[in-house]
Amino acid sequence: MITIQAPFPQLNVACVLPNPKMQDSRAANQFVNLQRTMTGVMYSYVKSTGTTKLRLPFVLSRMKALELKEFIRVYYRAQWTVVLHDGTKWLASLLSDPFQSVTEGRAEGWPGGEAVNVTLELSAERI
Amino acid sequence: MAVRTTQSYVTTLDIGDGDVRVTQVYTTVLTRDIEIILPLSNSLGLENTCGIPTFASIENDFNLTQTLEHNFITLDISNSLGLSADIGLDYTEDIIQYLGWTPRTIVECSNSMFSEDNEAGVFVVRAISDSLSNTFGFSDDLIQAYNATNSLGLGETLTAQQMHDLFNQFSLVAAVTSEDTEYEREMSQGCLKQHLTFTITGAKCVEKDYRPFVGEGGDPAYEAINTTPPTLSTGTLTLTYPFVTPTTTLVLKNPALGNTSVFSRSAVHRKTRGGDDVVAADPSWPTTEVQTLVIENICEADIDAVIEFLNDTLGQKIGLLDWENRQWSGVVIAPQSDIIQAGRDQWTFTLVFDGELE
Repeated sequence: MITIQAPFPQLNVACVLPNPKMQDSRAANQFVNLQRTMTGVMYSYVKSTGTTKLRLPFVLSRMKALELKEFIRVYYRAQWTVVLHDGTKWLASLLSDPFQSVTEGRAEGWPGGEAVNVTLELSAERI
Repeated sequence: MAVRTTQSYVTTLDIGDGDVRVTQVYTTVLTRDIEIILPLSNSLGLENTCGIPTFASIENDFNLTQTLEHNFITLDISNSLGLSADIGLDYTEDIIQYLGWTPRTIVECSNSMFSEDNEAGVFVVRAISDSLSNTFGFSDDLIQAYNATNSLGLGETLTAQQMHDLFNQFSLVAAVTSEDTEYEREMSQGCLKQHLTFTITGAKCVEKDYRPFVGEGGDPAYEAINTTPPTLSTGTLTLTYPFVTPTTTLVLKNPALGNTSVFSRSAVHRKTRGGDDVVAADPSWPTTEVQTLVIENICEADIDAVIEFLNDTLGQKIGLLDWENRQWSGVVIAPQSDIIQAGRDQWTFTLVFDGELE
């Protein structure tokens, strides 16, 4: 289970999401520019942001997708705190622009009756 | 006070009790036969009587250089003319000999301007008006004068809020005509350099802070999240035009699964030097929601209706009632999408709709 809360630092609203699908990822948000001189000396230029890029694919019910969309509509310009399924806590901001939801198929018994694919991309740092 | 003049000028000058009022336009020519004894100052009342608006007009109307030559005029002739409200002229003691001007002028203009000068005849003009557009035209035509010197110096210090126009025009025309060849005449014109210093005291641009924390007092666009879930029901995809009071309605099959909804908004992500991750956005920046719907397996008649509807409503705001019975308004943004014949009397087309939920 994943919990996102916003706006930071007041954290008035929380949205609970199911665990993401497999293939979720995290990547260091660092950049290295490597250059060599004519004499063979190597120089590396580092652009370090100290943040991690989180990519979380979800399958949500239709109603949960609408809830997440409403959450994003209001708090897309705020920072969130995210507690991931592994218990780690992050201070994050939304990267995925645009935010896209794709109806995957029918889901009998789920709120809204449909399953929706949503992927969140976050720029986050561990807190 | 006494004024003596010939009988022929009675019609021109109205002699009252100690006052002289000029009741006509001043084309009167005073010859040497006329002897005027002072003071002419207040008694003439030229200002009110003539209503002469400009300095140049006064000068030309009275022909002072010709008329007053070699007559018995006291040294206080400047006060006697009584032009002080608009133009006050001080004649020096040399006026009888030279008929030359060393003017000391005070001008008060109706547009809230006033000027003051010194003995050298230099203007110091200050403006305290909202708009400033002044035109000064001096045309001196001195006859039988030995020295004609005009010196105009305008030093303006303007302090304005939201000044729109500043336009100064200087027109200096000096002409000296003399029949006396005994002395060499000089004519000089000089324009002092003008310096303007603007001090903007009003700030027209309001600083905008794009990053108050959402929900804080500094966030005027704070909007509480809607915690009420929408009510969804079963509907049929229906397009209507116009959106308000529709006259054209097109009912279609519901789209196939795989429909997408793309919600995009503008935000700025920055990393500060201090290491903070900053997200900033003005709520007034636009947000859009684009839905892509694929409608499959419709017959040719319906495709014809779709094409006709798209042609009729191209670029117009239409209504879209979706399969969840929610009403949208917006525009079809990709009318050029391919309409594919998948089989016999089976057509598929893609509807790309940019709109907002009503």
